[in-house]
Formats: sequence, structure tokens, C-alpha cells
Amino acid sequence: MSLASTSSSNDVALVDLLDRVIGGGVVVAGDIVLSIADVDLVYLGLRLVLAPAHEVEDSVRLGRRQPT
Amino acid sequence: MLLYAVVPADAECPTRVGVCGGQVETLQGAGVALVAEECDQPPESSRPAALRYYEIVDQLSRSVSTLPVRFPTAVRDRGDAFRELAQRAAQWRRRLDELDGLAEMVLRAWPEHAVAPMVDESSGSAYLRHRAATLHIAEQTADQLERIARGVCRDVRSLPATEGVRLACLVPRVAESDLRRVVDEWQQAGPGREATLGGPWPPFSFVGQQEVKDR
Repeated sequence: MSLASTSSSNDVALVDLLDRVIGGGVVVAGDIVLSIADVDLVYLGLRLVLAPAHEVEDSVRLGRRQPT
Repeated sequence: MLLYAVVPADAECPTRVGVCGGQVETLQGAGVALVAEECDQPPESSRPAALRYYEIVDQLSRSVSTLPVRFPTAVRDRGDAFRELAQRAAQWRRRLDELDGLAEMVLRAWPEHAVAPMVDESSGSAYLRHRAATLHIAEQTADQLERIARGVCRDVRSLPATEGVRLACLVPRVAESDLRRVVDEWQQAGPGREATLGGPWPPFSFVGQQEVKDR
């Protein structure tokens, strides 16, 4: 699935994608560098900025229930 | 340096502008390479930056085995990047071999949609019955989907979900359509069955720290 088709056709997939990009992946010592600036807050902030999951999921779910 | 991914040492990486506006480059280690970019400042914490990062990693993963790095992971300088490479090259090389030709897809389902709405919303016992029915069907759905996914995927992991069921599936790229087919069949086999498949993506859920440590 291309990025363009992901973002345009499937909000749920986009939320999952962003969640994986910032929540999955190889973790190396670089996180220690970030932790100087309080890594937990960095990731919490990122999650809020990038993937407001509750809002997006709610809106998608409501959208799915509406007749088209 | 902002780190993007680990790839085989002989991988050809496209010359691209990265999230920080610099050139994405490969740092060579023993059998593996780190794809990275010099950044003066930490990358912007925004959705476009994360998607740009993903685009670069995704492009790599379509041509070579790739271990995506969690966004936004940065090391202090080039020396630290090479130290990481030296320490982890053998582990990374092994995992690259294991993940060759595989991608991640995320399977989502909303089993609660199959539960009849509560008749009397003011009744405590009706609420409890409804809640029990919802939990039961959620467990049943998770079991069913994991079983059918395991028939196609090399590995399946449950992901945290605020609602419903969410599974990460490690699927051979050549079998992506098979996974879509079995999920479609599952949806058509009963009323109220709703599922979506996201991906294929680089295997973000299958390259975590624990996995590397345990090997």
C-alpha cells in the first residue's frame, strides 16, 4: 500500500502506521540521548501530536456507522 | 544523527533528502549498514515528519531486508553510530536474514459491533449482561483472527488497542493477498464481522529491543 493511498483511504491504517513508527522499531542507545530531554515526555508528546488515537478512532467509527 | 534503519551492508540506498533536510546516507559496519542523517537539532515532532521518516524506511524495505528504527531515535554523533554498529552488527545481521521478504500488516477488528445494543440503558443487570457479551465476543474474535492469521503469517503479535482487537502479522510479501483473502472470508462468514488490514509496512513490531536482547 503506498503512503498516498494509506493516508487518503484508510484513517485506521494511518493511525496504526503512525503508532508503529513511533512505538515499534529497533531501539538503540539513541534513546538514552533523548532521555536527557526526558524521553518519556518526548514520546508521550509525540503520541499526542501524531496519533490522537481516541479522537481518530471515534471519528472513524462514527463515520463507519453512518449510511453512505 | 537521526537513525532510520539497519540494512545489509551491500544494500543500495537511494540518495534522498531526510527529515532534517540533510542527505540520508549509509554508515557501513560488518555485514550491516545504518541508514542515517546528520541533524543539528532533534527532528520536528509532527505527523508530516513521522510520515516522511516512514516513507524513507518504507522505500528501503521494498528493495532490501530492513530493520526499521523507532522514530525519532538519534545518536550524538557519527562515532556513536559506528559504536552501535560495532556492538550490534551480528544480532542485526541475523535478524535481517530472518526478516528477509517479510512485511508487517496490522489486522483490526471491532467485535463489539456484533453485539446487540442494550435494550434498557438504565438497568444495571442489562449493562452487566451487555458487558459480558462484549468481552466474550472480543475474546472469541481475537482467537479466530489469530488462528487464521497464523495460517498465513510467520508470526502474530497482539498490539495494545483502545477498542477491539489489534494484531500485528509478519507476512511474506508474496502472501499479502492470501492474508487479505482469509480476512475477507472471515468477515463474510458471519454478521457483524468487521475487520481492516493495514500495510504492508516495514516490520516495526518485530524488531523491538527485547527481541534483540534475547538473541
